[in-house]
Amino acid sequence: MSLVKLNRWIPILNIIAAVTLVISLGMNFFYAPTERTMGNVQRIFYFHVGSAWVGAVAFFVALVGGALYLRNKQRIWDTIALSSVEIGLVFLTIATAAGSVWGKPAWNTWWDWSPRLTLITVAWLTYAAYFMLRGAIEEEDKRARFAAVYVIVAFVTIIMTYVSIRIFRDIHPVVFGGTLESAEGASEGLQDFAPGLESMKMGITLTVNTISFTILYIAWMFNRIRLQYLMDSVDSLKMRVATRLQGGKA
Amino acid sequence: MPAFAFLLNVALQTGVDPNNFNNYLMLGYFVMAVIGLVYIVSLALRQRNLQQDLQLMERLLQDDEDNGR
Repeated sequence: MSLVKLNRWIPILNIIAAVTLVISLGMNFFYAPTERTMGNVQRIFYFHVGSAWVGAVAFFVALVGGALYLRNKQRIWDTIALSSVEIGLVFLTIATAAGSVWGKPAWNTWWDWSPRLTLITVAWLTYAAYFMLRGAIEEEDKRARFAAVYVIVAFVTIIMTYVSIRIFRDIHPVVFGGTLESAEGASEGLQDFAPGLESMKMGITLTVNTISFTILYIAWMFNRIRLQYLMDSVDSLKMRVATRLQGGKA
Repeated sequence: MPAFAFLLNVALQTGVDPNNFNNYLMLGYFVMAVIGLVYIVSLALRQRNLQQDLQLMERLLQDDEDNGR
């Protein structure tokens, strides 16, 4: 996508993302029913799950970007992977921070080194290290190739984080799907959106939040990709200026 | 400032009182908003700096071209 097209789409996407986020916020506070056990604090859950979902999607997009870069060697795929990892890390941070604040009233602790929380830390550190890897390699092609391989392998941490509460006993509740017998403790917190108006309202609110976070992700992706285009333009101009200053022809 | 002091007070509480659950709700949304806003500001700042760099480079090239003539 060209810079002109990006410039045309970005303001529209930013507005749509802001509007959907406000709608989600309104639904979280005024539409979703109050949860019976936890009360209002459960309303953190909608943003927590929304951001965790988008974080996982972002890392999957980065994996696809990495794989397509290795196949086609086109710079745009490396840009998409880089942008997606950066945004995914922001969403993962939001999900973790929100989960920690929810954990205090729910578990009487801000943090617990349970399998899920340990693995989310491993995932966060793994993706943070992606930027260190990129920063350590000067040559552009080599950097993109190494980063592509890294981002594909790193997705294992996301799969492990998702699966962990379904196979190990964990303090973290399972929101969707069943658990293995080995994770019976986790299944006690199982929240299923079974038939019933209250439950259905929670399900609708969660769906709207997930959609609005996905739109926010797309808007941020476009902004971040435009930023990368600008960085590339500045780098190319710097080379031209340097060549001129050395007496050559730019 | 009073809002920040209130949130800090919630964050530093050692015990959990169900009557304070709404405070945790506010703290949770506050923390999420801060992280999101920090990222948006970082995007805006980076873009502004790059556009300034771009203009500077273009001006340098233009000046060099004018001097060469």
